[in-house]
Amino acid sequence: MKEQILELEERALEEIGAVDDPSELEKFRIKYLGKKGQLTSIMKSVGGLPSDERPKIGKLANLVKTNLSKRFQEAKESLLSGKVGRHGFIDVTLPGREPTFGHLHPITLVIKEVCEIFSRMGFRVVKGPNVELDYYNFEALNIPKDHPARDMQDTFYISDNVVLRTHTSPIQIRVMETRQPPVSIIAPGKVYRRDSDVSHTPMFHQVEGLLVDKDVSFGDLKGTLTSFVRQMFGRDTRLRFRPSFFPFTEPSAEVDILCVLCGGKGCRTCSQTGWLEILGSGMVDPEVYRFVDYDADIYSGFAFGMGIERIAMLKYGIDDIQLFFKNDMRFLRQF
Amino acid sequence: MKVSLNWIKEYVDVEMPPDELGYLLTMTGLEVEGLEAVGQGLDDIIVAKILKVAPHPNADRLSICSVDTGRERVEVVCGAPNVAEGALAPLVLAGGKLPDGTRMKESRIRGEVSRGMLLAEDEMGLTDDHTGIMILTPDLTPGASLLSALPFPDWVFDLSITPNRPDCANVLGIAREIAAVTGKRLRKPEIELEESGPAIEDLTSITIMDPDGCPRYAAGIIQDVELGTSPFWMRYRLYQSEIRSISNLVDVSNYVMLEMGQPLHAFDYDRLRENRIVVRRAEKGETFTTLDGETRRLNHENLMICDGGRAVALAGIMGGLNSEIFAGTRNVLVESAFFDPVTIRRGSKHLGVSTEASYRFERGADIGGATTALKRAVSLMCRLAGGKVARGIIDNYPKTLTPPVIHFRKDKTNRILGTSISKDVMKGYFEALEMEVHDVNGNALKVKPPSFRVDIKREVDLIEEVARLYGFDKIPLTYPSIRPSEEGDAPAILIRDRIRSVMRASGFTEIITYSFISPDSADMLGAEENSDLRLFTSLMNPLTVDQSVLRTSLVPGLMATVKTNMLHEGRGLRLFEWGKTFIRKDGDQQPIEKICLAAIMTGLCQEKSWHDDERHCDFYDIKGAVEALLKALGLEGVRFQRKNGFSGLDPEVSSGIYCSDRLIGQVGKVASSVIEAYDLKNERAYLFELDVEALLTLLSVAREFCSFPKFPAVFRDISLLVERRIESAKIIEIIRKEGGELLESVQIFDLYEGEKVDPLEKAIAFRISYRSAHETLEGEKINSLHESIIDKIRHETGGRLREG
Repeated sequence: MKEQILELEERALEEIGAVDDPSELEKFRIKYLGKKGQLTSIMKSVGGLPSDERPKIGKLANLVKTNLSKRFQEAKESLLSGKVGRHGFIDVTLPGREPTFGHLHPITLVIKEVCEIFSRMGFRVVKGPNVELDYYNFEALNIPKDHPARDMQDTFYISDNVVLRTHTSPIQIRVMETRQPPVSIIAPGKVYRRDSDVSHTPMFHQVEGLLVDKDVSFGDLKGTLTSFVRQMFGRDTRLRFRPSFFPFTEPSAEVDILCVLCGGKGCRTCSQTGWLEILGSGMVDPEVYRFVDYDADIYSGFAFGMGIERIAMLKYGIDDIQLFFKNDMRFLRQF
Repeated sequence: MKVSLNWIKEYVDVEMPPDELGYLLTMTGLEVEGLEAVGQGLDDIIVAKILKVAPHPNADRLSICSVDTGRERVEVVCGAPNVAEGALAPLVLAGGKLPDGTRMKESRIRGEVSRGMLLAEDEMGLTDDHTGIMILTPDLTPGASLLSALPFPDWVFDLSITPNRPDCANVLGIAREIAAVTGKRLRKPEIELEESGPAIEDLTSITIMDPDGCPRYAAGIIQDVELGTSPFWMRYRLYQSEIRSISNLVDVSNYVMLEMGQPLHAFDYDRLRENRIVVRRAEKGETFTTLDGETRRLNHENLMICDGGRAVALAGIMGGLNSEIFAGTRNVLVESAFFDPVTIRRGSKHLGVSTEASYRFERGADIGGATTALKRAVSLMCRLAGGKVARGIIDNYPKTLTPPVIHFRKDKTNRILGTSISKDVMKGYFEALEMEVHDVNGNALKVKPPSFRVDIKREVDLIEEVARLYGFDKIPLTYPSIRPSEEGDAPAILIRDRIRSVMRASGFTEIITYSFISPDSADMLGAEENSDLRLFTSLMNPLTVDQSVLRTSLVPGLMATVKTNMLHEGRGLRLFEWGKTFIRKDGDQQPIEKICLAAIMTGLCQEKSWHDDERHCDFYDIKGAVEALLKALGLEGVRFQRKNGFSGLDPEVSSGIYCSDRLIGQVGKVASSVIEAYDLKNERAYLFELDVEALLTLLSVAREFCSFPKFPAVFRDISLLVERRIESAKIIEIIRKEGGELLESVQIFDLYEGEKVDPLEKAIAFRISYRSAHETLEGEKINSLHESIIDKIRHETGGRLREG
């Protein structure tokens, strides 16, 4: 008898939880609590029990009845306060009860996409400090003090010897310092340059990549980055590698894609050149290996870096870099 | 660097169209950032001969010129002071187009009809000269198109020269690159020099006191020069390269710098005391007035050019006012030196002056080319300004710099590049770049770069030259075999994406704010004196005060963003940021960088809709968000406990977030003082902050599956009246403790404070689920357990059962 009552309670509670219509609610009442209802009939039968069981079962049945009646009342109140769709007609054009989702920042989305592409190729994601020693940010990357290459980046200084990293490249050194080849890493992060105008923000994001192993060639650099660019910008993207200069790579190559806006005819975005610079890259300079104690006659490798804001601007057609850090909901909501 | 194509063509034949040449240059490493045609819009301009100049009857400054257009004679009014009978000048006739595209009309100027206009050079975009109309060479025929009379068409390339290639910051260098990639011959400028003056040793001497700073100093002298204006061709080229024309002598020094890359300086010989040159370091505190009129305070970093008594130039940077060429200059001493790049860079940085000369010296001038450039300059000066060239030059070269001899291997090169280029082809590239090459064996070469290639010191530098001349685009695509790592990404990276997606699913939008904030921020958050929030790391050279310290909290960024969005997002905001805070650590060079997560919500939590009323967010919304996040991450044993002293939070409405007795964050209502400080009107805002690194150490990676219960659960409710200040967690703790292992879960299903109960009390109701893993629970057993729980609660909280 006891199990029967408990089971009934469990069943009834489950049913009432699912009721969303007054007529069903009435059915529920009749089924359990009505004069011929299941609980009522159980209670009627209590009288037929042996006298030692009677009070116990009676008390339990009463408790369950109180509980169910209360839940019935609650359900009734909540149903009556509702207004719509209770009487058979469902207006399917009414907007549904949508959960509210937020948005991820476009920079996050692009970094994620870039890292995923390289992760698939076997690169591991690593991070490094934003406040960096001069040694890692410059010195070990073959940018000695008093070298004109320091002019390529305006630096924020914390002290004479400590800077806000101007690129993600110091992570290369930190990784190579702690492990022997093979090394294949990808490192996203914030970088800082003392520059603020319509096309520059003092903080922006880069993703750095590094591969060092035996017999890594410039051809491998071209293959890897071509594959990346096509995954990122589309299979038919035209790209070119052109000689450039970075103190920590040699040969160095800038990677350009055919302007996505004008298709190479020349426009304002590509400064009439038809091409857009999207990546800096090159074979790791042997001088860098000297700093991290790698044998340049055994190992070779390539490194690359890209500005995430620039890629995001191209990808989403954003024309103002300042938007990324204003965090205006009208902007963020679009991603 | 901007340079005229016609100038380049003087040294190398170019057969391809300018845009193709531009592409070639870019693909060789000299990036073309712009390419512009010169002489656009000059089609309607013709050569005219001024036949007669008569004064304008109604204006003193104007004249009426009668000009021969080749077909007819027309009258034009002209205001230029240099109109002269017999001169040839460019003319646009009425009906023709002016260079700016507007059409010339016949007009009346002060009553006199003008049927055209004589043009000045600047009006045609040729130079910036507007001192008068352009006077053309007398060999031209009136009526001829101006374009046929000038070296047109011409294009100007804007090239971006990388810091490693100072040898390309000049026209000859660019021509050399073109010659090397196209296989053409480079024609170097011819130098004709007639030395008719006295021996130079009798006129001057050069003393170098600092051979490290100045390894070479050469000088030449020209006597009896005549200062004047440079001819059009020179002024045109200087103008297109963005250098102002000053006088023939100064122009030549700039011209040769642009042509050969060697910065030169012309001194007025007679203004040099004792007519001699001394090179020395500046004394600390010494002052010097440069030719731009600025008086500069020097220190030992500055290398000075001096005469017999005083400083006359800042070596490699700028000449001095006291010795510059002026209208009365008769005799010139021309300097062509090599200064140490680091010395010039430090000097220029220290003074904050950068010039065309310092730019080139910093990057490395051609020590071997100093005398050639000197002779070129002297010969050009003599050609333009007349005079007698002193016999010989002085070449003081105390510190010979010898270019390296590099051992180069073909195989290594092909291995690094992924190519199979033959040794002969590589050798050809080096020779085209004016390197000295000797075979060592079938694989190796000995290569000696020319003195102007300061960037080539090692084998890898030569490998780059091979790659450039072979063409990056011809190197085949290959794919590396990347050995997979045995470790995964760092935990902070793995958790980052999970946190972001949970936050997004909870309705929060991610923001990214600057890592630098205002030092006021700690005060605005009401941080205590000893708070970590005050341990700022300051920038030495911030852009603004508002961005002068590194953030110690993500909250200022969130608050500022709420402010930004208030105007147009009045309905409600949910924002979060994932990022680093920077806490200064005394004794360490770098601050502690801590990854944090912070989120804020304001305004409506629920907008009014057909199914719901609008609702403002409150403490339990933000708490729910953080609970949901921690649950989703699988963090167990999270506890909330009231704690004072969270900067920026209302102490009455805030809580610490604990896990395993470790404080991992805080959640609460933003204090009204903070709301005020950020000027958020009467907005109510709620936020939480989590120390992600603490969180990471507490997260267990392993999860264990639990099988489903076999026996039914029994539910019992308790409805209580308790004192308001008794926290629910306390009652639940009693329930759990007393319920023991049969207690499965407790849920608070009702809470009431208000009219129907005593104002000091609240009604709170719990639904308890009991379940045994071994049997179906007896009602009796549950009832007595339930009763004992109720007794315990009564006893420990002073609460009582609520009737009805």
